[in-house]
Amino acid sequence: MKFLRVNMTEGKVRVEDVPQQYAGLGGRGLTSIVVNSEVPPKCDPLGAENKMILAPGLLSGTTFVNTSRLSIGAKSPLTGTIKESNAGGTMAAALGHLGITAIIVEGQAPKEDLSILRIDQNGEAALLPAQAYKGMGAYFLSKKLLETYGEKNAILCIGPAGELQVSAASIQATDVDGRPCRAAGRGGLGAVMGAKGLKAVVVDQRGRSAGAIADPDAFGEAVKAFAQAVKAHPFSGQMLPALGTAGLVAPVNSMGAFPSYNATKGVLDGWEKLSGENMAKIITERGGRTTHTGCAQCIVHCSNEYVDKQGKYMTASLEYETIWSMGGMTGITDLDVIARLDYLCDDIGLDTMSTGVAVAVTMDAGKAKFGDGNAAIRMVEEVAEGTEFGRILGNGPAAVGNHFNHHRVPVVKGQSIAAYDPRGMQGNGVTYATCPMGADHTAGNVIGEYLGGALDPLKADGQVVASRNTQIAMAAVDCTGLCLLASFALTTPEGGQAFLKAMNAKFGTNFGPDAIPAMGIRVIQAEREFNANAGFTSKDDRLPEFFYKEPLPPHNKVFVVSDTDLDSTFHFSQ
Amino acid sequence: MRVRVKLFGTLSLRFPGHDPAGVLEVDVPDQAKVGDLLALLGITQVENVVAAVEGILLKTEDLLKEGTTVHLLQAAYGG
Repeated sequence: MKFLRVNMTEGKVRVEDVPQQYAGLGGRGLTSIVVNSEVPPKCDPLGAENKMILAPGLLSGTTFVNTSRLSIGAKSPLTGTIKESNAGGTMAAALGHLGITAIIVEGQAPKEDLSILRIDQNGEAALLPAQAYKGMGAYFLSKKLLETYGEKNAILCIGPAGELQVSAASIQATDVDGRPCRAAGRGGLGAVMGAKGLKAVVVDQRGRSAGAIADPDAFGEAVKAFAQAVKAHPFSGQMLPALGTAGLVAPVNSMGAFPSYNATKGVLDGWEKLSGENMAKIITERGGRTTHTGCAQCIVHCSNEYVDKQGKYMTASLEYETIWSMGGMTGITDLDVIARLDYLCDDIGLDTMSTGVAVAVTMDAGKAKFGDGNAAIRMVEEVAEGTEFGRILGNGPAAVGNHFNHHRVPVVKGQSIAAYDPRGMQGNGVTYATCPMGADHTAGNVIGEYLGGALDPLKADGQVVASRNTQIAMAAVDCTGLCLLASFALTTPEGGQAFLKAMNAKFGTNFGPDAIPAMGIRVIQAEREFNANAGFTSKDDRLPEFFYKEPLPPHNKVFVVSDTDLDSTFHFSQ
Repeated sequence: MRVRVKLFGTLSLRFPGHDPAGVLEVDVPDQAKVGDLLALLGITQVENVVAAVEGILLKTEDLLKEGTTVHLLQAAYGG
């Protein structure tokens, strides 16, 4: 197993054995611990001192199902904190097949230089000139790169937003069909990649240098047992294949926790038009695909292909968070408009969540009407054009709020909240406030506790513990490459045992169940250490004031978890 | 008494001919609880179905009211 160190200043790639201090790490654990060790906490996120780390999970590239998440880490230009954002697609498996534990992109290319990092099926890596691709959108770029290097390649790339280095820029990843519709969206990591002068990473998927498996027989048994647990789980085995993540539109609106009209209501008028149920009906009527394999080794198939009235591809995959940000927050209830906005964001290389919320803040500031789809499309197009307003919008909702001097900006540490209002799901508010990476739902989503009847979403009791436990679990899961949407099988006895057995069989270890949360705690501690050294304190672990003061209909509740309780979130011994 | 039921997720597939966008009108005994409604619809506890009315999640022992619209949801864990 090896590291590739890509020095953009010198234009050179160096291969090294995995340093001892990083042994046994993968995914988010590796990106966060490398960033904490090697990146000066107070550095300019868009300068030469920042590093961008690409790390497949510990199980990526093996036969273990749904382990195709690639972690990308750096200091974030959006939040100023440490950041890990992970994407599906094919890149994590491709790197795993080549025995590459991490790619560390260092330094900074001379201004205006643009390169591609190409890794062939033998693992030979080189930086190649990419001036011909300057300004290109992710879709056309991916098509050209696959024509040049062959279809059996995985691609990570930035669009115009990344080249412009705006703070909501994403890194797009190709799916199994070679479309750049998967994203490491959060935290503005596309801007870091753009600042390095790196337009794309192109990796052959046919590598045969994967790390050894200590006990292949036991590993194979564990793979089968875990796959059965994923299929047997009602969420990953039934609901997600049928409706995708959009199946959450109904539950969250039914709970009154769907932040709508820039988080002034908890139920969107006409939300049924955006529901997973209605989306599946539209896709079926038009001849699209309600279920689809988006990522390598996926057995959940939550992806979809949304098509227009003529049956022509519009986007893949239309996801819950995008439907919320571009629909709920903006008041747009036309799925065709939302699909167009999703495609634009993927092509321009923008986080759909931050961008949708930035559009909503613009509307709330009175610069466009809620529900105006054409205005929203025009705003997003302006990012690619590099207009003055486009750059403001591309820097996310906080930049828009500052520009218009508008107070209602739903961000924590500069990053927008997700599709769960903290007043209607108090535990998600704890996660938004305390997560080391700004408001981030995947770091600790507590919705399962509410819908499972274990916790009252509207009261303070139990929310900190629920958030803490979920944040620890997710930090561990994010080390392995396992997709969040398959990870719920871990909560079943069969799934949990199979997962632990697979980890031990892969690495020849004899870890018990406590090793998994211990891994999560180690990661969070490293992330918090980096943030503390960057100047963040507990005062930064707070929600915006309006969540404490403006009641959210229909419950008319505010966020009620106390600061003292928030500050106990990472008291791990409790 | 009669309650109105909206089915979400894949629940509507259990009722052949039911329009997923439509409403089921269900007659339940007076003083019926959420658990009674689920049992009447053949939904067992292990299926992790939860009821919501006007933005509030209900427990199986909560009483139903005449004419209320109940959303029946499958447990979901995030996305």
